[in-house]
Amino acid sequence: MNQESVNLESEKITKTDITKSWIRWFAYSEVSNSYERLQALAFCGAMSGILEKLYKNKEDLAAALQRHLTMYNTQCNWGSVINGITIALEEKAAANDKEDDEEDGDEVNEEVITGIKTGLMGPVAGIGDTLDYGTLRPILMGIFIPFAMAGSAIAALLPLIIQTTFTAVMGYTLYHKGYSLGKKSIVDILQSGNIQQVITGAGVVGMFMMGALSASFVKLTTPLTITTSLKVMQVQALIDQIAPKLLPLVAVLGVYIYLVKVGPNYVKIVGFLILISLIGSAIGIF
Amino acid sequence: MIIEAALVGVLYYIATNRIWYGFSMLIRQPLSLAVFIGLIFGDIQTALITGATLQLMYLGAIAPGGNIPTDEALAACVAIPIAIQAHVGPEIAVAIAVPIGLLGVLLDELRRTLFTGLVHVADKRAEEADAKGIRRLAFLYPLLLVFPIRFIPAFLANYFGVDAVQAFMSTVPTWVLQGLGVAGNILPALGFALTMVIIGKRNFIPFFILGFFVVAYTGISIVGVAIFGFCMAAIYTHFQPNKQQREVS
Repeated sequence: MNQESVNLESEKITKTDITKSWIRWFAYSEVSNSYERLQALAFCGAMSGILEKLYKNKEDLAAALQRHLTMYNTQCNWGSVINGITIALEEKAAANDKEDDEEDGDEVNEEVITGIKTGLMGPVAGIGDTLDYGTLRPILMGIFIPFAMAGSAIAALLPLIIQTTFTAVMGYTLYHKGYSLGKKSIVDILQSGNIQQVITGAGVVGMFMMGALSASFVKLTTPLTITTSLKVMQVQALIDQIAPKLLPLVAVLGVYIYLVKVGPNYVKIVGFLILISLIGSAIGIF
Repeated sequence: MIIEAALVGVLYYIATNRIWYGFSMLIRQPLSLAVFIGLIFGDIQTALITGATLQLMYLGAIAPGGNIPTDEALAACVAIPIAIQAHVGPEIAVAIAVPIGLLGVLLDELRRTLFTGLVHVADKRAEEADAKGIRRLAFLYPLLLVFPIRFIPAFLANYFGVDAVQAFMSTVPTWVLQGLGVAGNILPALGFALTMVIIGKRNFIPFFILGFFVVAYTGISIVGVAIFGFCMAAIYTHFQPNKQQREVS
């Protein structure tokens, strides 16, 4: 695709317009989430100011608004890059409309815009959820929970403050970056070694952290004793001789294996754990 | 009591109306809510301990495709006040929170079903090229519509719930309480295991074991763990051959 024509700087869309669109996206993104089309209304709402500037003709504006009301769902922070790209594409599409004699095949039209949006929203959501809620949030929580337990209200609020700030800076940057790089950006970001390294590194920290937190916070011991003719043996003491906290380790790995093998059935697992605990304490093994 | 219950209702509304991405994903966490609930009931200590314990269980609860597996905000808005007023331990509060969190999912389903109607109105506004109308449908109207859905359940649960729970607790046999206490101590395992699944790298399990036994044997602080973790990640990625970069160069 011809880059020069994609990045044709239309004077109509300014940096302020893009920032305004970003503010709307962050404010709206999940507010109107519905079963039928998920974030469609939020996406359309965030894009509406831009579209008003691009399409002065009422019919064109109506068509543009309608195409952004199709089903949309992504992770809204990292998904900001898609909004940025879409703005660049819409700008190009609006420019095409004016010189509709252009038939050289690189025309940005409705199919291209919708195709790129729907093509990107899935992978971006996967990356975003993993980094923001699979890694960053648990790590922040892991660091500050012990201080909160010790009674620090500031520590309890710090994950909120830090992640809100991080997300806003990240989203703002990606929104503008998506626009300036046009639709090439996401391919660059996905293919550059950096993001892969960040994901790998985040995975290492995340796993290490989960281990450390499991050892600190999952508690399981048994009061069982084995009575032989010679002496009474504490089962817990025997376990501790092998390695400390083996029962909590078994509990976490057991749940993990269940999740991997059977699937993430949250309700079932919670019910099962509570049931085991009740039975266990009733018959005296916990 | 009516004022406290109303304040919790408003807090639950703020925590779940989803204004401003990022903030909305963190304000709904029990740890964040605990501070405000503690202020409302004048017992920050108990609120923080209970909120932090709840948080451990909900650590890995993310919402793929927007479907929340459980409503940790409602769980916190009901269980933390109960922990404060009924003087039950955080483990019992966790056990109370679990079914409430699952009930909260119904509220979210109600909200998202209701908002399907908004999208159909938006279709009409789009035909008329009414961008302002679409913005109202995307922001103002859902915020107003969702208020009763969020406020009323949290208010009622707090207004009637604590006495009911207190009365109920006095009739429960001790082995049940003890069992719920055990469950409260095991349930964080779910949060950690879910997070491990989300990280999605099964060959990273040794890092999990390493982190586990570093703490189990030495008992170092979580900040110390973070330092080791970040250094290990830096070393690991440094020695990791990067396929894509190689192909490019």
